[in-house]
Amino acid sequence: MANDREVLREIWDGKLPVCFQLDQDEITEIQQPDPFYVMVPRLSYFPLVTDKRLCEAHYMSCVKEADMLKHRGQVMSTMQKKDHNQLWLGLQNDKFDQFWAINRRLMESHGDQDGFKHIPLRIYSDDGTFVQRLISPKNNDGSRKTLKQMLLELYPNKSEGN
Amino acid sequence: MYLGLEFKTLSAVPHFLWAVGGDRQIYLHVHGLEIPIRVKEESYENERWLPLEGFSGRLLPTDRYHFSTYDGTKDRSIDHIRLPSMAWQWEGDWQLELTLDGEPLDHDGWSYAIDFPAQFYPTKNWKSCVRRRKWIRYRKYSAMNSWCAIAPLHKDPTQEPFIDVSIGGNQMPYAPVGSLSVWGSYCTQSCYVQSRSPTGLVWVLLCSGRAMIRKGVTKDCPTGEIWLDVKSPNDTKLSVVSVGYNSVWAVSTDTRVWFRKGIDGTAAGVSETAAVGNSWLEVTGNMVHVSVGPNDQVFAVGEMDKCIYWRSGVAPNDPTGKRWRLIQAPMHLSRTSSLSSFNSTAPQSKHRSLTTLNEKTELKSNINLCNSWEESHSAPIEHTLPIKASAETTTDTKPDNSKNTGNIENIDLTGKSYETTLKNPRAWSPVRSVGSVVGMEAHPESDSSVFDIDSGLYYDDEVSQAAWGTCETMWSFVEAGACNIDPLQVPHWFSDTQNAINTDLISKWRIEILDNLKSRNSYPNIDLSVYGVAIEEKGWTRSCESRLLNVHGTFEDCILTVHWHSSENSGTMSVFNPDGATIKFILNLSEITSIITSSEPGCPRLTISVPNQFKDPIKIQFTSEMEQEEWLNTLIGIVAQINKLSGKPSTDSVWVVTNQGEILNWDPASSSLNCKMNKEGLYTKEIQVFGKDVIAGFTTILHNNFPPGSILKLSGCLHDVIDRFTINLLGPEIKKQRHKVQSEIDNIPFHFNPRFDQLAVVCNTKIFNSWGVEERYELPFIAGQEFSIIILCKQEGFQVIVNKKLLCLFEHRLSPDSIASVEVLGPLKLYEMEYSCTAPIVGPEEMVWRLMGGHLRRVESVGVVVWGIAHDHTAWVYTGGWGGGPLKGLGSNEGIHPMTDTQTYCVYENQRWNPLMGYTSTGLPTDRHMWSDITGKHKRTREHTKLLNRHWHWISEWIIDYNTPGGVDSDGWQYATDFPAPYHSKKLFTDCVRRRRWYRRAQLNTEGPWIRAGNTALVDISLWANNENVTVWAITLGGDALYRGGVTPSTPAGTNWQHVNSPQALTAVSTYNNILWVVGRKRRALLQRRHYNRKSNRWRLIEAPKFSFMFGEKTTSTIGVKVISLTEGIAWAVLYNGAIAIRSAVTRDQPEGQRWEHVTEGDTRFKQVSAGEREVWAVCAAGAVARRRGLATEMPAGAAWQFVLHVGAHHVSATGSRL
Repeated sequence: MANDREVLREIWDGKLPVCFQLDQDEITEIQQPDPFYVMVPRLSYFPLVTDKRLCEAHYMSCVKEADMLKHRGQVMSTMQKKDHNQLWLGLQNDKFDQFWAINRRLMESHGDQDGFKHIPLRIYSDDGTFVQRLISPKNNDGSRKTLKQMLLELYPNKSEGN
Repeated sequence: MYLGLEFKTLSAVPHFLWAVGGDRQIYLHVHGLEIPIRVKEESYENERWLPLEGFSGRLLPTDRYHFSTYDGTKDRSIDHIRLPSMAWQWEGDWQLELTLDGEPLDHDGWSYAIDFPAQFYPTKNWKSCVRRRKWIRYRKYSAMNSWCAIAPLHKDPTQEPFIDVSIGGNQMPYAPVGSLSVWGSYCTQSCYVQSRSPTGLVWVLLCSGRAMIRKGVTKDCPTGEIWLDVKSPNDTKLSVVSVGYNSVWAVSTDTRVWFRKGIDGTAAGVSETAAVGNSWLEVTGNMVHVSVGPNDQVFAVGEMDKCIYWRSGVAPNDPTGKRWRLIQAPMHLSRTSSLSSFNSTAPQSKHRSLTTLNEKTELKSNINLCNSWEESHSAPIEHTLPIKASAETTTDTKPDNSKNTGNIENIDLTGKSYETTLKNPRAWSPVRSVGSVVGMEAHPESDSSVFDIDSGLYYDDEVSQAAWGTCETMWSFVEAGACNIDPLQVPHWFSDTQNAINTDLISKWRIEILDNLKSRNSYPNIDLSVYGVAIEEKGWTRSCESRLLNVHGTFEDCILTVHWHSSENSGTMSVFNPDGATIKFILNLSEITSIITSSEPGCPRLTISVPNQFKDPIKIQFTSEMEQEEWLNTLIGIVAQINKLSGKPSTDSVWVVTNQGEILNWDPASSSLNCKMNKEGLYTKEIQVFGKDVIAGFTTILHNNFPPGSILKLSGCLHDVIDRFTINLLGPEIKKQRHKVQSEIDNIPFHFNPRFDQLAVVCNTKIFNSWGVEERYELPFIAGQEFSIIILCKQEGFQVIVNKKLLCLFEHRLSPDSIASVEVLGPLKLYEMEYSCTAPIVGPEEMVWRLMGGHLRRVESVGVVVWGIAHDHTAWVYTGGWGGGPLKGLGSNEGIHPMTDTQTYCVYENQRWNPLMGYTSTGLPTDRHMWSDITGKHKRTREHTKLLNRHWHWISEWIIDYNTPGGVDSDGWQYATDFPAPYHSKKLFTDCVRRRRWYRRAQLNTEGPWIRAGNTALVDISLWANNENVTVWAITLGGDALYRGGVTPSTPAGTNWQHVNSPQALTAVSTYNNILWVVGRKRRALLQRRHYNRKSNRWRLIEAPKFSFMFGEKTTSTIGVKVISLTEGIAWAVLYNGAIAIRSAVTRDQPEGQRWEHVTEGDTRFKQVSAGEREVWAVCAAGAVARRRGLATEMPAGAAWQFVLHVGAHHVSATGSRL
């Protein structure tokens, strides 16, 4: 749903209120330091807390890999370096329009293709483990796959409601 | 519609479906035409003056028939003119034509001449030896939207059982618009099935599986020359063949699909290889039937599943396409009746798709090329009116008896004729004598429950929800001849699934997800205010290398940079020199009033208007189209955000269409936000004087003029040494042709002149450059002191208050509505200047024009309803959205639909005769280019004609235009004695030059907030609204007047066209308050008709405008009217010479008005005018948009034009504006 701007915007605007408190063991002064409060964007806080260069390299390779699975790499290969830059800077600086101006191309169907070839997917469980699979966006009969159908495919043993 | 009749085969072009019925007879279904097919029968009654008897019907033996054709060669006795078949009905009786070239004739309609053939004049004189008058009668095709049996060849229909019929030739190269040809085959000897293409190419298949083609089918020889054998694919027999424009597809008996390589539709008539092709290519898939559309798109019926497939990816460079895609084509059954129908169930998306699908090629091709508004380059020209009424051209397509040979010689007037007194039109059978099983039980026009009103796709929501069900269908036959789908914008229901994108947006699950997303960010237990932001909202900068148009008219390199701070809602645009350090200029983004594209092929450009800073707009050329589009999108988004513009504009909006087809909107409601009303009901504008020293003079425009109630406040300080100072309230500037064009001001309604030497204040008025009687008052000013002056405009005069004391009341000698500006002459220092008015004060520099999206040629607004007409004459209705196409993502997706538009490019091939070689492309050194535009001044070649941008694509090759105005010979040439001279079709002894026109059509695919309304081609439209009642009148390409039924603010597209007869072909229309004016094609005549009830059909001629002086030249003849716009009490008109005239005192009791008045002053020529209730706007010939200032009840023509937008406009509509 790369064209549903409203939903995209809502997802993008998701923020996490974070409160940092210094560990008691780390406090060396008599005065207790104030906790530090910050609102971080859910989608793009990663570059804030890790090495930016590392983060960028990892992100770009993920995007390339995903494009390979979605469009056989046809979109990324036609993009210029400045597009790649804009994509990353949009994410890093929390610029929705800047990011989506480029990302839209990655999320649309390409050429004659009707939708994505595959959707790369990773589902985390509560215990921190994850399942990573390649999902076809269509069912065998050609209809679009719903989230529920996809989950059943990944977890055939789990019955509804679990 | 299921009629209890079974068909063997079908063959279709847009609007016309031919079929062979189960009874082996041929049937025709004419559908989807929104206006009736009418044919005008004409007969000239000729008389000669005889000495004793006077004028008499007894003519000389050498003379023409008593009743004849125009040229007198054929007998046209009116009692012998019969209806060609029972499918036709007369519309009224024979009538006399009472005008000659738009001039009224006396009631007998005679016109006189010295002899046949000679010039005929409306009045008789002593040498008038002959006279003639014209009888006209219309006949109408009455079997519309119903099956009509075609009369068989023989009395006994079993003698000729038809097995196949095929229609095509609607795009036959070089043939006139609207020609069609029909081939039929009947089984007397060897059975065959056959197919023909839009280009006229005919392929047949014999029962033995052999294929043959007909060689030499051209526009001059529609039946072709001989049959040629085509080798079938090895070891198989062909069972179905279908011919498209540049392709032939076939299916063999073993259900294999074959594509024929090497077919070239344009050359097929003259080249054997282009018609035969060179080899068969097998295409994957097993099909039982295949059909090719006019644009080579392929449809087929699957062998196993009997479903309908569409071949995706078929394009000129890949004619065999990529793969077969299943089309959702469930048959819909009505539960209320047993009729099956083509209707579908998903209201918006599908209906729209169907409308797109049913877009008629006929409509696109119904263009006749002629340049009426000459343009000096080979850019697309407007599709202007056909010379022939299109009603006639369309009916050319209606053969009433098909023969088994080609037949474009259509309507057989003297042949089988049927008498037409139909006693009960609801129950008639189209074929009287011969054995037909089908009789029409219902009449298309009286029984709408069976017949769809609009384009055969009338749609009723409620019925569809409740009463239609679907069933799986096994298909056996598919016919795509009328199906011109755009492979790039495939209708939604082509997709494999039922789910269309748009239905997702309103579905419950999506709204639920959205609501959950919205609520997830609220944390009731946390005080969010203490949380800092992780990433600071910074402004962003965007920069690119580009080129800027300089004062010399050339482009120079620059670096364009925009800095934008979204949260502060402000930003700047800077233009740097290529070094990146030195700045050319910098401007505030809030000063931009419009951004439009102004590209030329290969040169993507934007034009940005910043009237505060620059008189002329800035033009920037970008390195690529993509870059230009991104900048356009970015800048428009920013300007809209600064000015808080989004979504649907208010009903007071003024709409402008640019030469590039872009649509601009100025919404006064948003502009007046900056100009608030105070408690006295006044709007005040502070004029920036910056405390500057005024010695040479300071002039500022008073945008609302200075009507009673206006106030001007000034304060400042006089110089120590002062002789006099002046405040002038000036009249309008008038451009005058002296030794060069210059602006002058003839009138000064109020001259306020304190004179320190005479210790007096002198007040006066200058009228036509001469001063009136002075009025003197005691001087209240002291040199070197501060002062304040208030000038109030009262009903009776100007009240002047100096330093809070009343000085004088100067009675009006000229209307204060004509005051256009104020001038202050020093020496003094101005501190403040304030201008107040009873209406919002909005100057051109505050009018922000928003690009709305879409591509049109004209827009007409009545506030609540907005209609547009595209370059290809299709009608569109504004949906209330914003964006689409290059503006993607600016507004919401709501109301944005795919749009297409078509334009025609023309080049002229010029040749000169020389004694050795005859006509060659070697001209004299002084000659025009041998390939040029219409003026000959610019070189234009076919090879170098480029499309404007990547959204355009060619939809035809270069084709010789055989319909060039003036007539052409068999090779398309037209001759003249020299360039430029009038061209004619026949080569004369004196002709030294010749030319011919080539044209090529291009199509644009875009998106915009517009939706198609009907499929009738229109040239003009006019709207009027009174609360909920919206009146829409239009003029078709053929010159017919139409009234749109069912238009309301909630259903802006209305439901159907109602045709209103008019005595001549029309070109323009305007309606206001139940008064309707139209302009006839003969330009001179202006017709008017009251329509208190629309059934009445009285037209009245209005006297033609006649002025003795225009543009400083003496004129003697009347000048034709080109554009009209009616408003309260007045009709504005643009004449053919570009002047503007008004017709005053137009009321409901006297709708023809009283007299013409010439409005235009100076030498500005106009191309269009649009009058609203309180606003009159016009587009001048050079493309600037002007607003008429000083309109008042006592000055209905206003005072002066104020130019507000210099962007190369084509059309303006201010009819909705009620400022």
